[in-house]
Amino acid sequence: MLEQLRPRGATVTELAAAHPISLAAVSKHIRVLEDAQLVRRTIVGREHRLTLEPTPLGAAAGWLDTYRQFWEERLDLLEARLRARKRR
Amino acid sequence: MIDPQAIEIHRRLPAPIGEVFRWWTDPDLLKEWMTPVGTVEADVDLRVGGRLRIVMKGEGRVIEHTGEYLEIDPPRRLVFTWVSPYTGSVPSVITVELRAAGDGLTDLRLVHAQLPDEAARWHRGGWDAMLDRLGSRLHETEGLQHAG
Repeated sequence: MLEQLRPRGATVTELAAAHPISLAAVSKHIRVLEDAQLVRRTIVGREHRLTLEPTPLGAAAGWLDTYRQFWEERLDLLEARLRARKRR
Repeated sequence: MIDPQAIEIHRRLPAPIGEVFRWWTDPDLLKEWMTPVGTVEADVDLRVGGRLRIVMKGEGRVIEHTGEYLEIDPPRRLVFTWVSPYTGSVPSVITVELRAAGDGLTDLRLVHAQLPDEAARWHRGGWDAMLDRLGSRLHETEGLQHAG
């Protein structure tokens, strides 16, 4: 279902048409997606349009920042290990 | 000379240069610090063209990193590629440079280059994990529905 939303979003009706399950089941799936904050629902007139949310990770920090944090943490641990070794 | 898809980090470490180099290249020592969570498996074939493999395991996740040594100049310089589920379509490249700073200390410079751009991150980074999580959630609701 998410694959289908990836390019430019979809309406609830479009999603339902593409899946061999009841509209109720589709709605249930969509609620799970909304709860997980993966999907955002915009209501324009009678049309409920669903789009993918940017990842929470992406909202907080770019990918480079994520890697920077990874290496800062790794080097913190390396530094701690080196210090501990010296004390022995 | 840093391209936009690179990060650079400097650190002064409390050990002599040779020892710091060993902590970057000895698999038993790498295991001590090369993971954010859980445990590490490390295989190292320390020669130019040799492979490295680091598997980080923890919190229900297994993240495999593989790479190839491009330059080995002990104890000053180490260059290797780094491929993980979170890097881009081309291997990222890590350069570690060490310099003796006196008093048994070592200055480290780490450059991680050729990281994926934002578009690649969108597809590879966050979303793969999200889709996994989503898959299991959907299974749960599917189960409930069939049961009801």
